[in-house]
Amino acid sequence: MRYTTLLQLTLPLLLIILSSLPSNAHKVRVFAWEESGIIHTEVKFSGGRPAKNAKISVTSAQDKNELLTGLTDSNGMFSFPIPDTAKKNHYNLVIAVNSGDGHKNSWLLNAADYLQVTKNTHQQQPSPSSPTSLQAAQLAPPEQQKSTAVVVDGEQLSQIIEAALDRKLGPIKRSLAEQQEHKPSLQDILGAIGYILGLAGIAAYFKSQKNR
Amino acid sequence: MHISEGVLSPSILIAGGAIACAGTAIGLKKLNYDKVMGVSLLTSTFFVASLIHVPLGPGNVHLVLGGLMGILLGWSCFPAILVALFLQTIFFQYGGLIVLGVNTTIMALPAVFCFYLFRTWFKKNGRKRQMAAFSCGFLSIFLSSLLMALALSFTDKGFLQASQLIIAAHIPLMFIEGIITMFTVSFLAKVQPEFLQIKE
Repeated sequence: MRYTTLLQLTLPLLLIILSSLPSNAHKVRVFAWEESGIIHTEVKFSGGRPAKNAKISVTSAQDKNELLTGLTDSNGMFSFPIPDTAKKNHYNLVIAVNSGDGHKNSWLLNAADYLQVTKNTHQQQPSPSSPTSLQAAQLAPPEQQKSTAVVVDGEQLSQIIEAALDRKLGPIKRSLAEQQEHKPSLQDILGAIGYILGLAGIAAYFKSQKNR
Repeated sequence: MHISEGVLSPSILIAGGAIACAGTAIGLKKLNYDKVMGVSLLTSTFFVASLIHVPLGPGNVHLVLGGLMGILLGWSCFPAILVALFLQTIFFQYGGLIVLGVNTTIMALPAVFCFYLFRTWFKKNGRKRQMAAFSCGFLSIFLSSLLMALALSFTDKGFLQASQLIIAAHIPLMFIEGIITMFTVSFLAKVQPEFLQIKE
């Protein structure tokens, strides 16, 4: 009898709480992605609010050298060009964030994820004429097109494609990185409540054994 | 309120773990057969309530309900909070297994303290009980932030800076918790006075 009233009290409370769930905040999360030679880092609390002035340190996973440190801006963003030593030594970068109030997290950016593309963009930078030559190729009459097409062909064309893909894939990389975060779902929560009730059952069993 | 893994020094981790162990042992010992279901209900409430984000203040805060758990459970809030935090750790990676003891201590110790501090006031009716409930909710968060700052002070930042940051972030929560605790207690006093342990 006592607990049925209590149940009547607690259940609506739980339901109200469950219905207001989508925003929550417990830990800080960080994700990083590379976009044409610059590594972008975004730091958020798990409710989606940006973590301002959080301390970021970038270290190499191989020899634990600290390459650079910085603070996030008001949007929780921190961007830095890929350090030369990291490029040279093919470091996997560990991007660690500490928000100062006991929250800490890190993100591993593998060398393979940022090095290949930068190599291409670096080669591409000295030749900004390549897209225009492609345009010229399209505009040119067919006889000339053949000859210019040979110039654009191969190496350069693949560079253009990769640069374009890189630009287009940037936001996708970002949202993929973002989605690695496991958000509490209703199933998790209900499952946890089940665990709690199960533990209560075990406790009740042992206590009742003692009573006998 | 959840300190992440790898922030604290080993001595703090051990101290927090020891306090949490002792508290849990006392809590389990004091837990009698009649109270088991009540404890588990509050554990569930704590588990879910601390998933809500309160969008106030500079930091990220969420309901803790430490004061309420302290009033209703006494020492048994240690095992309750331990279980809820453990589940949050393995399900959502909040906090961490190594810092579990410290996190439990941060939330449960002030709750127990408030329980002893305000226990006599709860036996009185009316306004005094309401005030006690508010203070209980308020103080438990304040002390929790203080404990958290203390734990963090031995790491990179000094105590003063850490405590300023954390207490400032939790000021809105202190009032919210105070009000929630007050309403819950006055409601329970009307509906379910046995649960408040008002009568001896």
